[in-house]
Amino acid sequence: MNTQRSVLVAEDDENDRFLMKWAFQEAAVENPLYIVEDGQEAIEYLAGTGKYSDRIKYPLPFLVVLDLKMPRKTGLDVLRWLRLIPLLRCLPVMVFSSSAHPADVEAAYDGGANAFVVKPAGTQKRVELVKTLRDFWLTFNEPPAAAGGGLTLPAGL
Amino acid sequence: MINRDEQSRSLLAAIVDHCEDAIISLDLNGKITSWNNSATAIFGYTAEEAIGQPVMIIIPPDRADEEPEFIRRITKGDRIRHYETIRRAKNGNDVDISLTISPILDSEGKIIGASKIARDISKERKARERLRQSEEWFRVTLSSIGDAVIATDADANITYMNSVAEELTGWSSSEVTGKPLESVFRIVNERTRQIVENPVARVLQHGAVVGLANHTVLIRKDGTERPIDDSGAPIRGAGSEVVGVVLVFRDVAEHRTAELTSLRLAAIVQNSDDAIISKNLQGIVMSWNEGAQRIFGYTPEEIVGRSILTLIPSEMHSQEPEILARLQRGERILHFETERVAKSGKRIAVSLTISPIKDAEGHVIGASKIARDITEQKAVQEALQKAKTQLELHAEQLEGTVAERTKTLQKTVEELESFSYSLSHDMRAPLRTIQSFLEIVLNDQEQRITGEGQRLLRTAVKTAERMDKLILDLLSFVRVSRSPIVLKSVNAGPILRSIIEDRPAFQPPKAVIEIENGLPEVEGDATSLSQCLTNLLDNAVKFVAPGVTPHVRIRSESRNDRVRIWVEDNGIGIDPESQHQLFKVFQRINASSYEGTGIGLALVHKAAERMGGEVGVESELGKGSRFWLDLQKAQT
Repeated sequence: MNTQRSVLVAEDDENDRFLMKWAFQEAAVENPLYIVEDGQEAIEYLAGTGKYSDRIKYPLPFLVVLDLKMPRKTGLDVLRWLRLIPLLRCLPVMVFSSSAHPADVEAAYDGGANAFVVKPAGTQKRVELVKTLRDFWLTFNEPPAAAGGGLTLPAGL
Repeated sequence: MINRDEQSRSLLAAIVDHCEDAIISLDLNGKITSWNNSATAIFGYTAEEAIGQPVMIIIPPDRADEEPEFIRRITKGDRIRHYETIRRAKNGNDVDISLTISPILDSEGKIIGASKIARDISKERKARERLRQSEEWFRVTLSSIGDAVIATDADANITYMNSVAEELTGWSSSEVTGKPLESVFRIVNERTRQIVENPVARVLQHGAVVGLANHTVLIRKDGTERPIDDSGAPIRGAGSEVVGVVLVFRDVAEHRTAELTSLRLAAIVQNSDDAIISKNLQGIVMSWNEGAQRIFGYTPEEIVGRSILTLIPSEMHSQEPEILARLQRGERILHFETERVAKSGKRIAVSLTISPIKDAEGHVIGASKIARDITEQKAVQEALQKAKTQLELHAEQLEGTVAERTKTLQKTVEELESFSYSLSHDMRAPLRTIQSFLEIVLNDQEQRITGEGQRLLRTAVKTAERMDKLILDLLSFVRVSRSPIVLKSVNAGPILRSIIEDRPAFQPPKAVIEIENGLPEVEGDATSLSQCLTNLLDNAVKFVAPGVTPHVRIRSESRNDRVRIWVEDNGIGIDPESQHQLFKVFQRINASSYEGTGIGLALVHKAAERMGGEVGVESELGKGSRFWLDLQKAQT
């Protein structure tokens, strides 16, 4: 098990952020979990700008988990931006939304999402989900070259 | 004595000589023994030429047999009276005679000869023949004339009846000859039904020709009736005394019908709402009905004899010659809409139909005009046109309104969409937090919470779960109602099997679900059909009595071009009174004992409806439920 492979979660809801961290602990997932609070921040993290310019401290993740409804930049905004950047466009992205609204699902895949998961209601399912994420995306899945890399995007992006 | 004998003999001789009849005597050998002057006049032989000659000189050869027969009878003492025969005169002419032959006796009474008195009856015979011919001629004439003729004698008994009379009365001549006229010729008044006095009786009484009263009806032998017209005339004898009556009558049914028809036509014309006017070729009004008076205001007295131009507005006077010319060619002018002027000067919109009037030879002698006042009709038409224009305007406005409403509706739909979106995101997020945090507290702090506290926390978790389920169901209901579907051929079998495979609740040991083989293809949408079947199965396995293993059977039934899929369970059943509410949103029949959001069947109903199908149930409490879903058969 490669415990160094990290996950970036973009989630504006404080409670959901808490639940995500709790589930990682509860599921005993040791992989690093980076959490940003909206889309704009996610972009900054991925671009390695501002406070995220330190790639050692903030490495490119093996999986990006995006909530859809977020202030400033939505999950879709982040996704679409990501797919335009040659360096980043291969990163696996899982959209994590409150509902499987067909239009959202379509838009997510159309924007290049690798998975679409509805946030589970209870704690048990969430723990299961986190374990599954670790097993699939962080263990079995073969990551693209960029994942885990320390490249910083040119300033201005 | 001798003198007296002498005198007497010479007197007899004088009588014989001057008698108009030929008097001849013969002896028994047929020899002429005496011959008077008249015999000479009739037969041409003088006494000198005749006496001593056999009587055969005046008998034509074809009558030669008569004489020996006469002699045979005379010798027997017979007399022969008024025997009509033919004799031949000296000049060869045959003479019609009537013979009377008597024997001549001697003083002892012995027959010694015969005397013949021959009367020339040639004239009489000719007269009789003429009479016979004349009678025949009358008979033929009477039987061939078109009128019925009955003749009676002075006692009003029928003596003659012609064939027309036979046909008209229904009696045959042989039946009625000699019978009283009244028994054959029964006549009554057409209206009063009173018996009309027989004209023969009147003729006999007054000795004059009588005509018949009007409207007389003859009652025929078979009881049927014929309107007739008749007259009677006396037949006078030589002394001008009335010896009989001749009755002449004829069937006037046809004439009467024609009369009635013309009366009826006149009534129709007179009472018509339309103006019916006739004019001659000079354009002079000849007749004018009540309708014309009503429409144009003139009485017949005011207008008949005046020019039709009286009615025509001055600027249209030039049309009249053209119309007359067309009429003269025999053309009709139909529904010609124009204007005419009433007596009051008011203009009237009329529709004219003008037809030529022809005489018996087919010459156009005038025209009939039917004028209909279409002022009102025109007004109605105008109103109609106005209404139509207004309607078009309204329709235009309506279209605008519809467009506006559609826009509003579109906006509402968009709002609804964003509402359900928020519902799923913004309402479920806090719910998720509540549920998850409660669970975390329950797990992490178990030891520090009392049993009652734990029970309350678990109830709170369950309630949050149920609320989340409710939101999800509501969302799928909204989505089913909204999302477009395309119907195509689908099979319920594989869909059902995949539903069952996905859910442990539909599998043994929790439930037994049997699917009949060969479910047919239906016109549907896989997602909608799956939603329907999932919800029906959910209910089937949910509503069972405690401790009972749900047993569900799914089968299909072909109904013409439809397929009915049955989902039959062994559940608690549904009270028939509640069944009509089942398919409405938020209707829960067993809210206290069974969990549910009250949306499932509403969703089934909606999804079925969108596939052009129907859903229903047959159930009784305690006897299970049989839900059915009707869908169109797939088009092959």
